[in-house]
Amino acid sequence: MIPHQTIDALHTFLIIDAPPLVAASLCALSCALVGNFLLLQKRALLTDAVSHSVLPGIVLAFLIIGTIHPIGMTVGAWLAAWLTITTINLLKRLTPMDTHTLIGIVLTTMFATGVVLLERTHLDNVHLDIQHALFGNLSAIIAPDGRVPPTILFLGASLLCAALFIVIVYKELVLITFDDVYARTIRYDVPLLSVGWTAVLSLVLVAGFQAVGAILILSLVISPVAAAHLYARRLPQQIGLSLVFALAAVFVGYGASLISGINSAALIAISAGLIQIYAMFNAKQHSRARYAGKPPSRLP
Amino acid sequence: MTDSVFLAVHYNVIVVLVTASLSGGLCGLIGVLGVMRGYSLVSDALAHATLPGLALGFLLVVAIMPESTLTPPFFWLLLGAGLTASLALLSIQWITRNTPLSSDSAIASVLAFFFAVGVALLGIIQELDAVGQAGIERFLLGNLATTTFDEAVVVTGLACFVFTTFLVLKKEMFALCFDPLFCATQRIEKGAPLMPIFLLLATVSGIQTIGLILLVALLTLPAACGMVLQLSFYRLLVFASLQGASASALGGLISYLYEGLPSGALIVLILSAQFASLVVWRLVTRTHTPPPIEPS
Repeated sequence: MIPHQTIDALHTFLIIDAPPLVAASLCALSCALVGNFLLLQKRALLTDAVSHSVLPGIVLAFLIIGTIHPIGMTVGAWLAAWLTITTINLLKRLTPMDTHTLIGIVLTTMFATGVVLLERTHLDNVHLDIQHALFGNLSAIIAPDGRVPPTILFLGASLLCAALFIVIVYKELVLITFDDVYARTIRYDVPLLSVGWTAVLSLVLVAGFQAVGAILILSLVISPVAAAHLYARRLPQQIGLSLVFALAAVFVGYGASLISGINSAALIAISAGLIQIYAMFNAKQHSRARYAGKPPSRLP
Repeated sequence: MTDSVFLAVHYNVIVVLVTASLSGGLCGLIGVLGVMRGYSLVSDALAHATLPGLALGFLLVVAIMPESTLTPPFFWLLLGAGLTASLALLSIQWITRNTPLSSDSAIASVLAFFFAVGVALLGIIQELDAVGQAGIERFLLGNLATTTFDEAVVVTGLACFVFTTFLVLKKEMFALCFDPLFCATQRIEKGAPLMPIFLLLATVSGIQTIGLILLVALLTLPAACGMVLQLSFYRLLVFASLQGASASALGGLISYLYEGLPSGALIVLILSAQFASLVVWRLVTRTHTPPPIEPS
């Protein structure tokens, strides 16, 4: 016979504590998966642009549909993410600026549009405000009636999509990541693949935006992967390690937030960062020898 | 009675306009250097990294003066912001020099880590239930309408310092923007260590005007508009600072008149509308088409 207290504790855990943990784990896993390729393509900051542009997409979708409908919001956010990437690529051809400047321009324009729309339409009563857009709202993911919350289903679906895409086109994706020009030479359909890749990337980021917010998702995309990159010698090894680091960051961060009561998304991001810092100091000797011929940096 | 109300309103408007145009002009000027040397998103990381500094400055003031009912002095908040932003700059430098990670990954991870620390500290401040805690959240998206006199003084001081130094060293800055290697060989590196300091000061002065989330717009868009117009370097500097100043003043004025609109978002929208129209104008009047570059 199981004592009552145990059953009650288990019940509370399943309804209140487990859903955010599951959501954060799914989000971290899918972010780490796409992050591996973004890091190697040196396009990590594109994540920043896409995650900020999700906000106007969601607000506009709400204004058009009139209700909070998860599918409508997702489509809106997805279109906004598309618009961002296309605009950056277009401006790269039309103007003399470098990619970083263009990312900065497009990101802030999209986010400012979202902020003004949000302020003018008074959506504060529908769980959509600037604070949640920036910091995320993990603790709002609960399962009051014992059913799986829609956010978790969405995060699970996005993880499944990302994993399937990467498994199916793994060979092509790796070649494009490491040698874009060669992939074109041997007649791979690079534009088609980048369209698919962009679609998967924005799906993952849109799903993650609703869980951990626009800025902290950047940490889940980059930190576990950066730590894994410092240890791994082959890509499959790096992907595996990054998934382990991502899960570790989620469990440590969420545990710390249960104890301290501070925003769990922030603590998860901090623990991911600490893992990266540990890796940078621990793997330093090892990587120095490997990258002895690295060209000097142009940073200040 | 009406006279005094009238005067008070005007006084506030003047404080708002002075703060907005000085910090906007400063960010526009330094933004040219940032864009030309490719530091655009480094300054984004610096801006996000001011959040933990603002929170630490606030906690320090609360710890020293627990009885104070005033909002914490602007100066201490900015000092904290400057300290954590410089820490972020140093970490980005360290990561790109000492690990195999690319500068993209370095910028992204430093930005996210510092911002996360800031969010966690904000959580602690909210639990403290101290007076004036809303004072920090206004730095997220900029709130010119609440600018006070001492904030205007601090921003004016920063702007005077940077403008004077810049005028004195404008030849070195010019050379550094176009050919840092040449500067190294000619030993005219006097301005080289000043570049990141300028970037830091511009960031710190801009967070009141435009907010730390959107600050990178004020550092990139005025310079980008000038570059679309293909101005020469010194004209570009003047154009970018004037444009940053006028857009910030206009945005500040609108947010002052219509309560509740964050000034940062308005300034960004004004600047990006100008940028978009300049790009379209450039396309229409272009006489020759450059060879297409494949998007990577």
